Amino acid sequence: MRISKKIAVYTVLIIASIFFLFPIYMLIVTSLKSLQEVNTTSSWSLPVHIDLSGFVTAWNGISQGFVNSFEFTIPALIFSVFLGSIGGFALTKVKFKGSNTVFLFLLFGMFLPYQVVLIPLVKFMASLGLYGNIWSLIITHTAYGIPITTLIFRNFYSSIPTSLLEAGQVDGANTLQIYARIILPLSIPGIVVASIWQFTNIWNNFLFGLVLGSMPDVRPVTVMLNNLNGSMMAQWNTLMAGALITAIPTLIVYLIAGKYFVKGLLGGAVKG
Amino acid sequence: MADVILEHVWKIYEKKVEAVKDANLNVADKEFCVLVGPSGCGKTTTLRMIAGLEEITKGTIKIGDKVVNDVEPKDRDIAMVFQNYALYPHMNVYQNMSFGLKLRHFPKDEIDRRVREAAKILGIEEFLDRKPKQLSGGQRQRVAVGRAIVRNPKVFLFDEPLSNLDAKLRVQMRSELKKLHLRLNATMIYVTHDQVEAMTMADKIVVMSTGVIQQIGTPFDIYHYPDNVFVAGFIGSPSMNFLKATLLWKDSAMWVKLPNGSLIKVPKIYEEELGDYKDKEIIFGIRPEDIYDKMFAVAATPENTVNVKVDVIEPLGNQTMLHARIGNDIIVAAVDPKTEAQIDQSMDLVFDMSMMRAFDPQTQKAIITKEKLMHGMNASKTAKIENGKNQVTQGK
Amino acid sequence: MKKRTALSIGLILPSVIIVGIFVYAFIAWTFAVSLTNWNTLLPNWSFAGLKNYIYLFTQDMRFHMDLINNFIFLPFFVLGTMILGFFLATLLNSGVKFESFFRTVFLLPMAISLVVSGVIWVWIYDPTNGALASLFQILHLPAINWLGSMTYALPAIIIATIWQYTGFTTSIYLAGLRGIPQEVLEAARLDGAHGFRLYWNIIIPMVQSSTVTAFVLMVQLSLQMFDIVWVMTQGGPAFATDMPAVYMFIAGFKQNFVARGAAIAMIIFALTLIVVIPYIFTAGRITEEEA
Repeated sequence: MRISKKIAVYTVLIIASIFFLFPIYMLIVTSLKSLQEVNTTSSWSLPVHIDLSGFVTAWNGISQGFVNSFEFTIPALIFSVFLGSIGGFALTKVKFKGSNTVFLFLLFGMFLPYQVVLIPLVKFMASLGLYGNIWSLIITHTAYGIPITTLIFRNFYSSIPTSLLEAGQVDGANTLQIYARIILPLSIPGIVVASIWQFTNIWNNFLFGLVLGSMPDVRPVTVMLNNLNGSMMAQWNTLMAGALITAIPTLIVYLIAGKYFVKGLLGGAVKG
Repeated sequence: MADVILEHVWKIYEKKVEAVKDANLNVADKEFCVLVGPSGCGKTTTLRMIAGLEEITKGTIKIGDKVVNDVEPKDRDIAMVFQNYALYPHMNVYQNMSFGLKLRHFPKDEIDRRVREAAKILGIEEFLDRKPKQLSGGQRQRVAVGRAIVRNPKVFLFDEPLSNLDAKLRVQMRSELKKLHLRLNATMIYVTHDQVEAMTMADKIVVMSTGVIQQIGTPFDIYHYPDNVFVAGFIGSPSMNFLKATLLWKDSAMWVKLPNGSLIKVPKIYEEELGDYKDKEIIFGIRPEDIYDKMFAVAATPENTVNVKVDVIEPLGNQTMLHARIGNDIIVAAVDPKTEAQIDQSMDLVFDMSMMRAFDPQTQKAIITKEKLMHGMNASKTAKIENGKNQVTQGK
Repeated sequence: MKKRTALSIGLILPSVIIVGIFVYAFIAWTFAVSLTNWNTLLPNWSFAGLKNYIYLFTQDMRFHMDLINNFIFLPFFVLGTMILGFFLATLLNSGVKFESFFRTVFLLPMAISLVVSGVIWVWIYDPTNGALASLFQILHLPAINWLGSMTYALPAIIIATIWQYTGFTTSIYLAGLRGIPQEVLEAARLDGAHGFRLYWNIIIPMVQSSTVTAFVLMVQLSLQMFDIVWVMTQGGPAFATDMPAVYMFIAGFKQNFVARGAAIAMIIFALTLIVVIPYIFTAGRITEEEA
């Protein structure tokens, strides 16, 4: 590349980075300011005094949701990843007549506008007596996670040569032993990808929490943050602290395992 | 006893694709049997049916007198070496080799003894705690073989095991597998598309094409007495030459009339069987090495000499391949490297007619029987020796 | 072998049952509700035919606004994320240093909840102290109440969503660009293609499947855009940012117009199907061939 072209490329990339980072910058600096500081001079500036009162107030407002979100995210993640793994295995390695149709049947769920299931979902949970119960969120997130986890594992298992399973068969392993002793140990990258994707998706979800989280003791952190947004008008330090608290778990996962996050993203975008 | 018997075995896939058609095969105990054919000929499907990895549509497969049609692969007492080795990537070499024994609940010290013995035979003792990823292609190949050996099965199955190795290593592994066969004294069934592997390793070759077994025989028989045009053309490199020709009687002898009109004389011994084809078309076949440059031919006569036009000259060092025109057809001759042939020049080639083959153009089947061909070839051997003597005497 | 098939079906069956209920049965349920008079607090299953749909299309001004907003939002959002994504992916693929740093930065918004993004952008757009207000003050420009303005509220939300999703399209395009064999580009260069022609004749056609994927996903996201709108404006001011998905939630869960909410949901669903169905079948075929 010529020098001038190089400079142009980096300039554009840096401008783009500023566009993507400045909201995050605003989030962090504002959360560390006192309310007085937020309301004076430029909102851009770094805090003069680090003030954590916003965090204290925000934590009081949303800590219950923070705990709730973990309580349903982790089980739903485990269930959906497990179902995706055995389903993906069945669809790629123990194919049966119509297995491709079954795959399309499941795949369709990935593109579902959730609006079209919201009303029955709430009525269904109520009829099971689970409305207001943490299990309503666990079950919901498991159900709507199945399409993507199945897709991720299906794509992942397609890359494992079938002869490996046949070698296992000749060696004397039955199908379950093949799954447990050959496929599962090789699945770790797939499990990581699917888990990270599911964690981020479930944690960040708002809509299901909104319709199923009527009781504070099941309400997810995203819904609580939105409520905070309604009740703490103009208390930007508190709101930003709340937003940061809400974002921290997925941000940490992303910064540690971004590579796997991207794979989940593209796994979900369907290989094509 | 671990002979493998296929009786009228068919494999028909869902979409009516007939992958294997009415295969009948008898692999004797301790025999090294090679299934060979071009890709898509059904050889791998046949092997996989023997392994139990592929269901049989029709027919019977027996291993050691026991019908195994519905027996799971693990209960067939077979071991298989896969084309891509199929080593478990998360297990080290030792674990790879012992996995099958562990699943069969062998005692620990027995497993250990067997793994170490196999590793010793294959020279992979120092790699036992390495993962497959840390091994070279040849070493992985050995581990795959080792995994089969430790099981001490009645039948070994190999699915193109050498095709992923480079040429030099392939030659080396070829002879090692052959030695292993002698040492293990087990039945082995081996699939390859490489006819050199088939010729060098097999006790028995099974040539397949389009799902049909074309011929079963020893490497010598398959090469010298091909049953049909396909086998004659597939085995041997460069391939046998085929020319459309007519048979006619002249001067109380039988002659082959080649596409360019030249006549060459059929040996007396073949006349009887070719009698039905008098004045009819046949497919005339002759291998490149049975065609000589007249300059170096020991027994050139007008009755076996054909004038051709040279198209391409390929010097290989030990011999030279001439691509020559006979009418509109091209034949290949493997001639003496000292040939003085020139491109676009005409020259005389001498056909060793005792080595001629003839096929029916409709059925593609060989017309002359093995017995006659054996006699014919022996006769010419004697003639050559005598002729050689004459030449030597004349030279003096 | 039969046993294997049975086992395989057993492994996939739980997923099939769950998806069967939570996706297919629920869609049928919603459709059924949309054909009733259930626009009351208590369930009312009396058959209403297409009444709810007819009402939405002929009389409901709010729904008309929603459709207009949605169809303004859609092209800006879809083209914005796709063009920006392709552009950034091209830059990232040009052999720059710190490529993984830039990639991480661009994709960062995808890792956080739309609720979080919404709250941050509300603060940025805050008319008195927000980041934009401060900037305008420095530049001596008149103060604008971005989210309170009929004119600016929708563009403001579009920018926030482009910020959120561009990393996604960038990743899709980057994967597509990485998939082009180097030899093809070299051959094209030897053939004399460079600059615009190289992109127009070689690169863009070769990332076609990325384009299709990005397009389908972005269109589908536009049609069900809810979270960020709900957090930032709840559809206001005066429905200037209202979307079908927002109205669906209000009608179905806040105002007890359950049947009307169901009808809106079915309309969103039908619009989604237009892009998704062809995609699923072609993508399904592609993955099938690979497998």
